[in-house]
Amino acid sequence: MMPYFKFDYFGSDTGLFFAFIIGIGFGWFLERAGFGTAKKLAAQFYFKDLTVFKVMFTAIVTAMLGIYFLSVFGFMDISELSVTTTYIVPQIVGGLMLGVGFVIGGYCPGTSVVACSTGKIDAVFFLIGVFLGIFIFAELYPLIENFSNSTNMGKVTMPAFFNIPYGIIVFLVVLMALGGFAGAEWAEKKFGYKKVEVINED
Amino acid sequence: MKINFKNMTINQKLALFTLVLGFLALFFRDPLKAKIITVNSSEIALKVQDKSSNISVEELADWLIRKKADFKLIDLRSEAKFNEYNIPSSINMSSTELLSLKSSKNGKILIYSDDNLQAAEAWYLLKSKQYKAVYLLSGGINAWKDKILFPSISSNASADVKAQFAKLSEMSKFFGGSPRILSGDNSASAEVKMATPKIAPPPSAPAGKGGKAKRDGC
Repeated sequence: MMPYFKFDYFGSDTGLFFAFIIGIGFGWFLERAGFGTAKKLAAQFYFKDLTVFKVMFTAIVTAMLGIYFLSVFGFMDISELSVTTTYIVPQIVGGLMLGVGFVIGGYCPGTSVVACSTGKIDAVFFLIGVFLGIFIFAELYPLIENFSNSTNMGKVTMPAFFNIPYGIIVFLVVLMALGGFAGAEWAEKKFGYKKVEVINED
Repeated sequence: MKINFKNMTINQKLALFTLVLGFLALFFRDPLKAKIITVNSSEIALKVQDKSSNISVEELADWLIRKKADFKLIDLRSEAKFNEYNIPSSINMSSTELLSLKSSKNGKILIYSDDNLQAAEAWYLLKSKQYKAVYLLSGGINAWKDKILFPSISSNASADVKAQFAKLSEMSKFFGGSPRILSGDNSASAEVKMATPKIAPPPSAPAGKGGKAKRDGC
């Protein structure tokens, strides 16, 4: 029964080993998708190259369908999966800040590490900025503690929040993703630069 | 528009596959809901309130004497306590063992512990697992000892109480206990012997105590 760790198939040491393997795989696929370059990542905000959007949504849909059908057929206990707590207002504010940083810096935290590992200097500086931001956040925490703990909605999921069956959410997200892919292809044709140029630039 | 599967790109094939899976997802039972136990809260609240799930020790003693076997009697106390003394025909189980109980959901289950609290928790547990007929031994093993094994009566009790006590004394002897008369008045026991046993529930002190204990448990 999955998730294996929650059902004590192995301890946290072995868990770290698996995390290491999966992490390397994750980084490798991000790099292969072209996420190791700020130009490609930033291009999505100008609708020139929506690879990031497409890769991320593919990952979401694949994981969602995998989890859903594994649970349906009894291979996984969906209630044992970790769900992070929702603090709606602080998370909107934090999301906007991350988005601004993403546009300016050209990386999100994960991809900056990927870019670092391939020796991108801008990513090194970006990563220094990430740690500086973490440090400043920690130092300011007493001042913003009330805010960052406000509007706590608990560990809420969409099926629970909207009180509609899981399967319907799965179907709607699939429709949204497919619509998104079609839209992304359309936007790339309209706003994007020619693919050949992108490859030459890299 | 005719869709030719062979002419599709790999991305279009994957998109189609995803769409099919997403569509199929509509027809499966909700995996989250399957795990979540639904409790008929109003039914449980009602049962807690009217105490219809409570079985008094006298009732149980009566069942045992009449060799009723249509119920499962479960002792939730520790193994040591169980081995020291248990109510005849009971089986020892912990709360976690209770979770994996293989028993008909419609069968009658009577649970007891030292007092009401632990048994009430187990009662709720079984109720939430959709067991239909779960009962709680009111007052637990303590009430059993007080009222069935070692019933006591004060010598200046009313005739009604004494009549009830006679019945209790018989029960007590059946289960190997010893009835006690609290103050040394000899006439009391003689009177008890003469009175005819009544079946109606007594307005006696021990019953009152039992009623209070019920409320604690719920």
